[in-house]
This record gives sequence, C-alpha cells and structure tokens, in this order.
Amino acid sequence: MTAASYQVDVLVIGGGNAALCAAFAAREQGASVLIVEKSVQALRGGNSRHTRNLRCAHDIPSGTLVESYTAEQYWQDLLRVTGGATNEDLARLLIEESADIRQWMEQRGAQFQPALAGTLSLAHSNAFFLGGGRALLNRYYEHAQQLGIKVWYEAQVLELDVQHGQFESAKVSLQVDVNGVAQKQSCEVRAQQLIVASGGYQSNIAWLREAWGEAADNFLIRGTGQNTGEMLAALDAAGAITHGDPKACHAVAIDARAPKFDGGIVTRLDCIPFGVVVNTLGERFYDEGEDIWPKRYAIWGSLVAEQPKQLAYAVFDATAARDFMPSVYPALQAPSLAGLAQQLEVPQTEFLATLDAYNAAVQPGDFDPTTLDGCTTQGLTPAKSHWARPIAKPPFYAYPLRCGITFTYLGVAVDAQARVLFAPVDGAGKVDLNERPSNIFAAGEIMAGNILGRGYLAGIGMTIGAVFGRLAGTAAGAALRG
Amino acid sequence: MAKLTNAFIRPGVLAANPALIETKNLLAPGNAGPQETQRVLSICNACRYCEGMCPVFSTLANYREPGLAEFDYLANLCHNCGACFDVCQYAEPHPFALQVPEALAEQRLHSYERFAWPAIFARGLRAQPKVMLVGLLALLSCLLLGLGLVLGGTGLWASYAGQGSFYAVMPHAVMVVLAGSSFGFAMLSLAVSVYRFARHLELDLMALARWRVWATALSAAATLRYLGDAQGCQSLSESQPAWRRVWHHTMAYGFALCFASTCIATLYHYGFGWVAPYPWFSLPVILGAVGGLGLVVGPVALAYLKRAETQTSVPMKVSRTGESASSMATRSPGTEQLNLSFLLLLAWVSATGLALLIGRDHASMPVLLAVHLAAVFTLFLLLPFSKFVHAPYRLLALLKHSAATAPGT
Repeated sequence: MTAASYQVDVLVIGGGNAALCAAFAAREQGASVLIVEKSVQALRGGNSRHTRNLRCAHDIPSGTLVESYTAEQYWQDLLRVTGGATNEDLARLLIEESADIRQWMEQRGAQFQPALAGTLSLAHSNAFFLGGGRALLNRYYEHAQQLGIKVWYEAQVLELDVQHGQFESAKVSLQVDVNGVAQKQSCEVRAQQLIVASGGYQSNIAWLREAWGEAADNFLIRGTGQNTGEMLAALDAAGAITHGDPKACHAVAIDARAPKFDGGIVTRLDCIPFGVVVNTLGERFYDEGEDIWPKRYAIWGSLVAEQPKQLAYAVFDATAARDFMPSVYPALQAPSLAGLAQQLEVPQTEFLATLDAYNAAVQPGDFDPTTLDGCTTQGLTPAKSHWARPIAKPPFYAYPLRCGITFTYLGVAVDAQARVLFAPVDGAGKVDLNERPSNIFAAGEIMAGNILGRGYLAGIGMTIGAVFGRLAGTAAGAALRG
Repeated sequence: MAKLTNAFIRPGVLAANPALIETKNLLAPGNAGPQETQRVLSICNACRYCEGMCPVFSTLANYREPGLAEFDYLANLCHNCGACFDVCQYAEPHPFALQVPEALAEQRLHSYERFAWPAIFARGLRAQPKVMLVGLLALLSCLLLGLGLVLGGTGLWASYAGQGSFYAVMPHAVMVVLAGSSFGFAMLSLAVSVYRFARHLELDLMALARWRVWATALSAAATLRYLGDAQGCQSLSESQPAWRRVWHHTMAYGFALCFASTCIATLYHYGFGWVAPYPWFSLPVILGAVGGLGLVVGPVALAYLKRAETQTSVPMKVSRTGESASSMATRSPGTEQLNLSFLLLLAWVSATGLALLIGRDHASMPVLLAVHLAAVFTLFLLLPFSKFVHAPYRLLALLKHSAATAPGT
C-alpha cells in the first residue's frame, strides 16, 4: 500500500452503499477491486451512514415489507414528486431492478427490520436497515473483506487521468504510517475500469454559493462533510455530460440548531403540519397543511431557503405539542405568544398580527392527523388547508428552521449500464466519437439527478445507489472479461 | 464549473440569539449521570434506527419525555452488549459522541447506589476492590485469631478428620451465628433496596397478578434471552455475546447449585441430624463441587472476556478500532470495577470452597476453613452493595417490560 503505484482491475471511488454494491458486483465476476474512501474508517460510507431505508417495488409482502408496492405505483409516485423531471428509461430500469435488490443486499450482509415507529406510512414501500445505515455499512465492509476487496481509508483522489478515450489512472493521496508517524503519500492507481460513487457536492459551500449566492452560507448539510464534489468536477473537466439544475437538491427543513454537517436524522422536524410557520419578518409564507407530511416534507427545505436570512420558525401550542415524533432539540417555549416573539427575535407586532389573523380564519372541524381532515382556514393567504386548529393554548412553542441539504442533484449523465456519457466533442470542439471514454461508470448521488430532476421520494436515494452500483459493477466486470 | 475549496462558514443569525445557543449546547457530551443519560436518550429517541435491535430501544419509543424512572428502567434492561454502539451514526468522532452502553452502564450504577440500603454503605459500590480486600483481610484475621483461641493447644495446623470435624475447629453455634447474621443482613438490605426500586419503577401491580407476565420475565432472565439472540443484541461478531451468555450461565447456575447444596446440607443437619462433612458421593458435595467449578470457571472467563473486549480490538468491531477507539472500561471505571471485583470474589469463594473440599482431611483444613468462611461472610456482607443487585433489578425491569408487552395489555 505504500508503493507509489498500484494496479487493480476496478477502481471504486467512494465508500458508501453505491460504491460497495459496485465493488461486490465487480468482484463477484473475478475482478480485483480497490475501494478508495476519503473518510476515516469510523465515518466511512458518506451519506449512507445516515440512511435508514430503501424503496423497493414488490407485488406481494416481501421480507419486512408489508402489502404490495407495484412498479406502477412507484413510477406514479416518482412522476408526481419530480413533476416529470426524470429520465423515464432509467427510472423504469431503477424500479424494475429495485424488485430484487433487497434480497441481493441481504445476501451480501444487509439486515432489515420492520418500519420504525412513526414511519408506518412507509411500511409497504420502504425496507428499513436493522440498526440503520451504519449497521448496513459495517455488514458490507465485513462482506467486502471476505470477498478480498481492498479498502483504503483516508485516501483522496486528486486527479483522474483520462487519455486516448480511456480512464488510465488516478492519483490518490493517502495516509501512510512511516515509523509510527502518519504521512501523506501520493500513489498512482492504474485500473482498467473506474466506478465513481463519491456522492454529491453539497458539502462544498463555495460551490453551492455559485447557484444560491450568500444564502448558501446559511444552509446546513445533513450528511457527511466529505462530499465536496471533486470527482464531479474532474469528470466534467474530462468531458462528461453533466445534467441537472445546480439549485436542485434533496433538502428538508431541519432544526436550525443542528451542526453544520452530519446532524443526520435527529434534527428532522415533523411539527410543521400541526402549527404555522413564520419567517423572521413574522409572516407566514406557505400552506403548512397542503398535503400529508410524507408527501410534503421535501419541499420545506427550499421554502425556508427562500426566506429572509434563510430562517423560519414553526410555531404551535400546547394542544399540538404531542402530535409528532420528538426531535432532538427542545422547542423554545413561552407562556404567551408575545413572549415567544421576543425569544425568537421576530417583530412582535407582525408576529401577533399573523397569529391573530390565522386564529380568526380557522374553521371548526374534526382534527385527524392521519387523513386530509376538514380543519381548514377561510379567507387566509396563504391558506392552511388541513389540520388547522387555533394556536391559543399556552404554553406556546417554536422550533427554528433552516434548509438542510441531504444531497445535490447536479451530476453526470449515465446510460442503462451506469456508464458515464461523454460529450461527442473533444476539448477543441471537434466531434470525435472514438475518443469518448467507455470505462468510466457512476453510481449513487453523483448520478441521482438522472432520476431526480427535482423533489424527493423517501428511500429512493439508497435504491439508486444500490441498483446503479450493481449495474456499474456488473458492466465493469463484464467489460474486463469481454 | 466548481470551486473546490471549502468556504469559510459565516456565523448565522443563531449566534446572536442566546435562547437558541443555550439549547444548541445541550447536545455536547457531558459527565456521566442522569443528565448525560437524558442527553443520550433524547438523541436515541429522535433517531430510533436501533428500534429493532433490542427491547431498550423499542421501549424507549414509548416515552416521549423519559424521566429518572425510565432511565433506570431502560438501564436495567440493557445487557451492555455494545451492538448499538457499533452501529451508531453519532458515536465518536461525531461531535455528539454518543456512547449508549456506557451511559446506561453509568445509569445502572447510579440506580444501584440510589436504592442501596443502608445508604451509608452505597459508596462502597464505587470502591469495590478496596472494600472487598479490607473485608476479606479483616474477617480472615478475626477468624484465624478466634480459631486459634478456640483450638488452644491443638493448633491451626492439625488433622481433624471425620464427621463433625469442621465444628471441632469452629463450634457449630458460632458458625451459624456468623453465617446467619451476615446472610440475614444481606437479605434484609436487598429486600429494602429491591422494594424501593420496584416502587420507583412504578410496576403495574395488576399486570403482576398474571402468571404470563412472570413466566415471560423469568424465562428471559433465566435464558438471557436478549443477549445475542435474533431479536436481541445484534453484533457483527456474534461470538462475543454468545460466549458471554455461556459463561454467565456457567456462573449463575454454578451459584444456584452451590446455594442448593447449602440448602440440602442444612436440611441434612436439622432434618436428619447428619453432620458435615458429607461423603464425596452425597448430594451436598456433588452439587457443591459441580456448582463450585462453574462458579470458578464462569467468573474467570467473564473477567477475561471483559479484559479482551476493552484491551484488544475485536477484528469485526470496527468502531472499537482505529481513531474512534473509545475504551468502555476507562470511561465507565465504576462499572468495570464493580463487575470485576464481584467476579473475582465469586471465584475466590468457590475456589476456597473447592480447596476445603479437597483438603478437608489434611492438616491445612483449619486454615482453609477460615479462608473460605472469610470469603463467604465477605460475599454475604457485600452482596447488597455488589454487582449481585443487577439480578433482582434486571428481573424487575424485565417484569415491567413483559407487563407492558404481554398480550392483552
């Protein structure tokens, strides 16, 4: 490992779900495989470490999945959340392959458990990892060791050498132990096939700023701080076709007190449908009860991102205090709405006027959190369509909200074998079909934008990683033999 | 296309709002104790990824704002298998530095201390090895001195073969008074502690009237059901909990056999007038010898396992290797000492008992007898302030759990 050069059949960049699935599929065809993981061992696996499930199509109850979730339902759900901004061929391929991916993962160490308390609406569509994503990763890495897959931790790819229409080698910086002292050493890794599964670029705030301006500084990154997009930039520089809106990402409204990176699931807030959301001017800005929460949670990230200071507050009262899953930070609390305004540092007059107007507009109805109930507002803009109850019973509570980005969608375009597509022009603008590399594959977040033009469907990120990882590894292995 | 440097991150609006800063800091790891348990469990309760791992987590999900009673309940359900630590996304080097098994171990110790009676002895729980050694030496000195006086000219190094030989060395009445008073103290102290802990847990008395609740809890306790089972503690290297269970059974059932041996011997003495020592092929000796062997092998093996677990890195337990290595032993020293000292005391009691069995016809018998009795009386006196209390406390926690999960509730 300390040698200045290293030869392997398949080089996998990244150490999460997509990378491991790709490595398994390639190794099982006889290829020698090296995984280059940027992180320290304890934080390996990128965003997979924070995941909890993946979305699978199935016609009959299967494993921990109840009832059925047909390919057509899956497709309709995807169509709805993306508003059609998806590559239909790849999306249908994803859904088709999702049908057996759970069992495939299980054969490679994954363990599953029934849907967690509070997530029962996902029990038919999403298979939950026993112990969560880190447990999955532990089992994967154990399996990788059994298969003889080599893993380098704290190893960062600095350059990709793409010449004569092929990937040739990667320059990797890694930590080596020289007489008990950790030193950085550069190593040239030569490989016949390259699989890039290194995630999105959401942890690169400077890059986010290109699309969002200074607002990006106020975003929180829910997952690893390691996904800074070097590989996406390198593939782009090598002529790969990139794809996607630089503003598009999976982002949810999370507790503003969360750490800048790696806060994960515990900073999630499920309280929005049970109260109102105001911005720092003390004004409401969107219908908090538009639809059931699993269908709306993924829009609130960008809603908050568009507010002044990229900050908002979810406000509710004692009546609603126990209607949702607990989150990790305590709600701010005050005996009166005026006192709450003071704590939140929002203009008191505007805040009270907003709450008064809301309370006055609430219509009587039977509150039912499990369905689109009849509790609505009348004559209010924006309306609150469901679960509208007066916010009048002290104490009053608030959670501060920020935009929490899970991952970005701008990525590389791939084909049905997860092979990265390259522009049919060279650097000088000349069309040269023969010079397009065919030995570079991509899986996971770096190509998720092919499926997700916008919006999000709970658990689909891990399905994309596993399915396209398997496709990439299979194709890379086949290319070696062919 | 992209700037690849990670930008300076400006402090946002939050930094100016004291109300938000104060609550944000609640997630920084703190010193062990109920406050740390609260921090840890509030993170667990918002995550819930471990819900399928063991009853601690599925039970936690029932409590939105768990308090001290729930902390103690959950802590006494936990087997400290470490599986949840291995899969924790918030373990070090994450800034939340979550260490659930350790927090619950500290909480358990806390519960032992708070309900120990008389309270003045509770601090002995954290000073186990010292208390144990002082107790052993003090009792041994007293016994040797006493025996020397009783035996007079015959001396402490002489053969006293045959029936009643033990009582020739120490009069039966003296032995009964010493054993009875130390054992009686232990039982009284334990009864008070257990009663108070049961009150604290708010056990549902109606549920306790159902045999099924007892059957479930007792069978879970007797089989260590949640240690290393399919729905119990999950571990990457299944061998660790599996071996722990084997050695714990060896020890616990060894203890039970020794206890049975003593009961039968008492019956022989008072019921039938048969006086110890008993022949090799008698029930008290067979049960005592087999149980005694288990009570030596089990504790020693468990102590060795604990050492191996904390000092070497088990290959598959990745989170205990490399930079995230956080020794559970050094960070919860009170619990480790409590465990280790109890294991060694048990092993010492039964090793000296076996030595007495082998050497009972030898001239060393009076010394062996004194050593063994000192060990037994120390064990009795320390029992309510030793790791032994985990047995009734866990049973109470299991009863509460089975009452809450039994069909029909």
